[in-house]
Amino acid sequence: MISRNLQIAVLLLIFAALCMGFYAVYLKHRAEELGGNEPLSEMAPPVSGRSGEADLWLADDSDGTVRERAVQVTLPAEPAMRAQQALHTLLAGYAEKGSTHPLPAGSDVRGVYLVDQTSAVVDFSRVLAEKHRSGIQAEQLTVFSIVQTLSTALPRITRVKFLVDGQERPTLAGHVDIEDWIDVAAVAQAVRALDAK
Amino acid sequence: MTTCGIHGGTLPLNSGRAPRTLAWMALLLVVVLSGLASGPSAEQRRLAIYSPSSSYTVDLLTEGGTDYAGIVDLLDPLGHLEATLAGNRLRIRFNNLSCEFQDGSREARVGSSRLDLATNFVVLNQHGYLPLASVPGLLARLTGQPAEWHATARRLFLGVQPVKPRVELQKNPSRLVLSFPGVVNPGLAVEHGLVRLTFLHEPVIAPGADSTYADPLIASLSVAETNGAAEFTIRLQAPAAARFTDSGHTIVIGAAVEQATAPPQRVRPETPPPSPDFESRPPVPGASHPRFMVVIDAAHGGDDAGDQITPKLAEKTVTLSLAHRLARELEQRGIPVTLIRTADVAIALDARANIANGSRASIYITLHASSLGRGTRIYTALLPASAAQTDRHAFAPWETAQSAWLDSSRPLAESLQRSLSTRSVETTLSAAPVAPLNHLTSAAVAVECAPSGDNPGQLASNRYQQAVAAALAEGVANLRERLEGTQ
Repeated sequence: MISRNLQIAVLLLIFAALCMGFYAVYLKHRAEELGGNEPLSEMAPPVSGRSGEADLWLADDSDGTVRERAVQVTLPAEPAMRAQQALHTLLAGYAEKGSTHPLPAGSDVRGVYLVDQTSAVVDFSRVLAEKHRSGIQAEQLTVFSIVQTLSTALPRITRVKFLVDGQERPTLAGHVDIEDWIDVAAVAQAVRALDAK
Repeated sequence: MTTCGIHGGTLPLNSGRAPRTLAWMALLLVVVLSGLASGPSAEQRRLAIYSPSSSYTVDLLTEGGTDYAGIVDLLDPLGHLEATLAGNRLRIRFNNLSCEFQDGSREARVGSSRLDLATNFVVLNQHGYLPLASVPGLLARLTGQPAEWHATARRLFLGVQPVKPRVELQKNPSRLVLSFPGVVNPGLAVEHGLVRLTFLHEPVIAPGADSTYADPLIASLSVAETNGAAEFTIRLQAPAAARFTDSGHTIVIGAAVEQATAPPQRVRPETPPPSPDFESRPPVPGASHPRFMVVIDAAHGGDDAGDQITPKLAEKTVTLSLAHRLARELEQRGIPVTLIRTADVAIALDARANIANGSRASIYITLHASSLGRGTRIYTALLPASAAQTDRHAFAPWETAQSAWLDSSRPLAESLQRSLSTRSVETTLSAAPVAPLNHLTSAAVAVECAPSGDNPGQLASNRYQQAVAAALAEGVANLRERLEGTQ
């Protein structure tokens, strides 16, 4: 004979286990949905240094070009930090309303690392790739703009590697290959060709 | 007898049933929790269709124990399709033949006659689904082709005969040779003690009864048709490897040591990619392997929709339709074609490059579409000058495999631009690291189509696609002689 209390307890346990299971699945989906919304404030470290001019290469969707423009920014003394600050300013500008090449809010650079002075590895926030518009031209202009800005800030680099959230990724948003190293000279030549169209 | 009351201390239960009830509850709990923990793990049920124009698979939807296939997925690769959903009625125009289906009805109209379906037609999330058992009858009627239906394996041979390979066990050294009348590209898995070949996109069936061999290397060959594929299982007595010869017409399973000393063969992707059509394109008369051949790659597919051009139009749909049109235009100009993607399936980027390289394409064109910008954009690979290579027969790194072919890719891009410009399609040329151009060992370009005005829906229009397809085909044809000379 099993007491009624025991039966009720077992039923309640089963019910609770089911509820917890469904709640766990719900939380997983919710976490996946919210995963890409990285707050910009967490990504942008405070920068100290003198104010100076940085050359940014700005993409323009209307004519498919990438052109240089000087802006006033706070420039740290260390070269990699200086390059990171230039990229941060570039991406922040793209996320603003009325941008010539809109990028999702929260797009930012997490770090710039120099390897043997000629190779730069740049780590971007996940939102840049996951919320980026899909298309060859849209992705090409983003990559060219970043590589040109970086190579202007770090003139000795010959190649650039993209990481997203610390990981390699086959393409930026389905089209442009960012798994392999990108050649700085080849990008500069392609940017000149775009401007000469 | 079990009774229950609202009031009272304990519930009087039949002492024999109570443990059983609790056991059922516990079992239910285990099943539900294990289901929640593991998630969907069952293999996707699919239907394979082999026709003269295309071979493709369709993922099935199972409702109430009945399999259904999406009507658009079924018909789109077979011809020109227009579908309109009005309320619970789906009207379809397929190659000038009208059909009408109604949600929840077993009656359909095909042309002027009635067709009885096996079970009710279903409309779900704006998509129409046909009961699987009615697929052979409907497709045979719409295409006018005879249909052979392998119901258990869910394989439909529509206007094509199932192909039996020739199997030969050779001695000294021991090797099993499977010869096919066309190029095959099966999934290949080598496990401990067996080799498994999975033919998903070729109408291959068993050559006969399963065979057992008294051989020091090969123990047996068995073939099973299942879930839209034919699976060849070769059991081994000793370590062995498989290689492809005769331009992909023959598979040889031999001793691992022997294979290692054999001439290098093309690298095959680990996962079985959907392969090009199996003999779906006419071969060049008098040539077993066409000297000049174009591989067309409709970008994206399956879960990868690409750019969402309009709320109802995905890039993957535009590229597939444009790829079929370009294939027709090229064939009309006598140029053999291989389509990498013929249905709404996902194919890895490296697998696309492997298929194109393995087929020894002269030209590779990957088609894209975008709502951004105006006109058509043609891209060649972006490679460092230091990777420049002229010897096409030398080993090259995968990342810069295209470098020896850039001097063919650029003239191809220019020829396509000239041809598009003569048809008043605004076109620009550029270099970009578009995946997977850097890995191609042929003249290779990416073409991205954007609308000429403010209407992105133009990309799906017949007129626009036909104009672009004809111009691209003309651009390829104009360059044929020059590229053949460099091969």
